[in-house]
Amino acid sequence: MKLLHIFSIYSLLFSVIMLFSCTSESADLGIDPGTGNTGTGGSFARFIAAGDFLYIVDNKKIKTLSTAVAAEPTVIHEQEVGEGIESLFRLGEKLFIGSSSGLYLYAIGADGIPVQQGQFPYDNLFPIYPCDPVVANDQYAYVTLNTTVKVEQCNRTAVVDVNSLNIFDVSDIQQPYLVAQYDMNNPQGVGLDGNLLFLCENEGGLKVFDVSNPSNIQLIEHLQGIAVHDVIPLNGLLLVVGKDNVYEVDYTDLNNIRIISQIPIGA
Amino acid sequence: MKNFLLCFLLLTALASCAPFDQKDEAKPQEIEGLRPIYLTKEAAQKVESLPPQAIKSLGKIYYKAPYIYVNESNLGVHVINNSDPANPLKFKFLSIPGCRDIAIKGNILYADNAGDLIAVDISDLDNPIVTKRLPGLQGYLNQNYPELYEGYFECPEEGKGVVIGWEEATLTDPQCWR
Repeated sequence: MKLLHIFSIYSLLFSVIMLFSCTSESADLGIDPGTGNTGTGGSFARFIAAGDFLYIVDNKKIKTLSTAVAAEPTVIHEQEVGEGIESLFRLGEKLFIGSSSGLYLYAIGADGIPVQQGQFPYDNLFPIYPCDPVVANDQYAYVTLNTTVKVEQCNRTAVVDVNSLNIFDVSDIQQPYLVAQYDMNNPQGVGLDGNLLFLCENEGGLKVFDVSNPSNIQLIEHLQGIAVHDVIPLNGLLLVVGKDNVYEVDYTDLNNIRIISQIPIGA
Repeated sequence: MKNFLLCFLLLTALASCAPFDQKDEAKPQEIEGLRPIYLTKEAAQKVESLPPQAIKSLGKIYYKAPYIYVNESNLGVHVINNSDPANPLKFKFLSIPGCRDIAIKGNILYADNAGDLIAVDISDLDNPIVTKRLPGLQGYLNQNYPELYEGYFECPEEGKGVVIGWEEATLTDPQCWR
């Protein structure tokens, strides 16, 4: 009985310590995209403002700036990530970095500084360096890879083609692995809202998938006749950008996903 | 081995052709390609609010209620009032040379500006104020050649200013290609 008491006191103490350490371990990054004090970007974003921090990536590095005084950002940290960094995505305290050399996963520490947890290098997967925006939830990361290059060898031209949607299991961010791969037609930006994945195919238009089952995703809508390269899902309203215009798509009713507006030309 | 020989032969043939080609074309050779867009350092650092501008080639998108911010091919950001998503309206154009990426916290917009990172107070969209400049922090724009491009381009010349982008043009005997 006594032993049990001691045990429970210890476990209580332990939980209290854990609680404290948990709160002190999480940087205050603010909450909802778009509606909070910081805005939200598309899947090609290289800048992310979160709480009192600004994260920016260049070709090789991620830099952390303090924005405690918003008008006076200061660099507090920078680190090498990999080659050909293309995009940065944040999910709570996780950062996903898309690059031509691989997918890199980071956790943001109490001091706001990202620490690398895991990576998935592409060298074994593809013969060339593709471009790749990324979005994610707690379980899966969705990466589009798109490259078509002509390789000149002697007097012959070979076309190497990597155009796919790749789904990685990232539930253990230290050990991401590839779950499924789907061929796409020049895939560009992606957006995620619950089980809905929005995927831009440039001239090929906008595809909406149900991704409840990553091994068997279902195309539920394909809006054609628009050239689009990136999206921001805003809880039923999708902002879509193409070379020539910005479109807004209402997806509150999945049976009636439709474009509700675009910017008037010349306005 | 056979392939190697073939390559060698082809190369020799090409090499011997090259001077002949040059001699043959007395007139300057015209070809489609890219040419650098230069700005003086002073002009490149000028951030200002303009009336709504025509869309040329849109880049990245960013949202902070009630505005949509859309990047315009290294020139700046269209600010679109999206209070009514069924009727978005171009509201202002923030001219930020060499800009591709932005993020916003409160009334402060962070942007890359021809290699620098700047913080801009946009409380008054008619009067944006650069509150901080971190020189060279986002040296993403390649000053030597257009990235993700294959073909001819006009070689950038030092002293002409900062390369803030590239535009399609008919080039006369370009010396650079990738």
